[in-house]
Amino acid sequence: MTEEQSRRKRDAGQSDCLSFTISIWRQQGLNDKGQMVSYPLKRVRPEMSFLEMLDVLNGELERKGEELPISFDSDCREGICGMCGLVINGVAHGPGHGTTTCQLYMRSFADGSTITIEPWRAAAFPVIKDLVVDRSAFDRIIQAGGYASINSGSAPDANSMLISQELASEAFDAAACIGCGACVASCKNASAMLFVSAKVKHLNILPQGQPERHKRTVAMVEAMQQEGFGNCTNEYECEAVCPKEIAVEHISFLNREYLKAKVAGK
Amino acid sequence: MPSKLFSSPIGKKMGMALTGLILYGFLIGHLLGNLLLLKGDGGQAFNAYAEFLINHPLLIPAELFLVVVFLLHVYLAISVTRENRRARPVGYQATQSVGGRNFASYTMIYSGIIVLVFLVLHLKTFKYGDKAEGTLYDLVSATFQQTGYLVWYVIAMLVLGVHLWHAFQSAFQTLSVRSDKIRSLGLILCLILALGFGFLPVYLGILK
Repeated sequence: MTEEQSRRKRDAGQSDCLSFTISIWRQQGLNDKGQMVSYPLKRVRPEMSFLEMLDVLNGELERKGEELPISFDSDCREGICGMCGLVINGVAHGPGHGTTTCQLYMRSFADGSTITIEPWRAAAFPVIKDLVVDRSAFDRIIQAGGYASINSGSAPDANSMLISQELASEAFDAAACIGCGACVASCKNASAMLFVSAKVKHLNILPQGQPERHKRTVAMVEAMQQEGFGNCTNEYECEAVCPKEIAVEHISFLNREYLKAKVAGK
Repeated sequence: MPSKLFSSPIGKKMGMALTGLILYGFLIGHLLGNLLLLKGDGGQAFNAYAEFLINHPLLIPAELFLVVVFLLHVYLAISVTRENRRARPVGYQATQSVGGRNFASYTMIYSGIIVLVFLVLHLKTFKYGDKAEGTLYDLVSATFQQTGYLVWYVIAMLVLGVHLWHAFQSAFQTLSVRSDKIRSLGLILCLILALGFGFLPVYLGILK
């Protein structure tokens, strides 16, 4: 709805609020079977973010007092922390492009429609409660090799390590990954290749990452396998939903790096 | 080279890609040979070509190589698919594709199974078929007179085309080559192979 349309509606004494049927995954705990539950929701303003809409729904549930509010993850609510993540109408982070769930606005949905909200689905991301999943598998992959060991004893001389603008940009493109897990959620195989490839690349192409290059690649791929993520079958759904638009070229890079590391005997 | 390469997700994918591309190469060679069926000389050229292959000293090693490559491809496909199923035990209520997922990409295992069944029947019918009463060309011509076999053959070739459509660009992506040219080439090749293999039985069974 455009601003002009909203103003006209207000002038005519009509509300420009939207109504939805929210079909949402409810699960009491780790071992609960869980089910989809529908809630009617009125008075949703088009400029509300998706998470604000859930806040409103939770407010209503609390007022009624019949059910516990819906649990969902969020932190910064400005698209940089990687905490929020919901599968909305079958798409990780919903219909926006290059955005997280918190950057999605209710004007993106047709008035009166049903919105289906589900948690990330992967064996490696168990559902803890409602829409909250345990993503510590990603932390363990990072612990396996997503770091560079740098002597922090004294401040290094400025410009002692020259890095071209092109290389810095390329590394930054990969480093933009916020680890939200949308790549895993959108992949039909729950593969974490896009995440791992981004983390491997941003360290492996910079001089600081060289000493641990091969060790890092192998350790992170092995950790990914141990966590039970699936295999990449090149459907590129991950790239399409990634809020940081991490490209699948990074996966090609990871494949090469892994082969090089194995040839080097790591 | 450490052994874990071949049990790792990336090693398996590279194995799938390499074995797949070898089989792709075989299909191109096979179609080129089969085009001799269109020559209209009563099968003389085709039979001569078949004789040449049968008497070639490298035939047995080549066949063994292809069998190993094919079995490896099937083994990796089953292994990868089982792992992928385990990786998502609970699916979504609503699903939608926003990336590159298409009919070919999410049915690879099923199209693969159909091609596997086809291959077994195909070898049984032609390679190990009864050629006591005539040449290979006679056997091929007679087989495609059977409508049921002809229909199944053409359908199987279309399924093969669908399998190859996703396979080609996917194999190159895994092997680190990704470009629009590869995608276009993959589409053209899969159309040539599917329509080429699909047309031959129609020509021999109906048009001729």
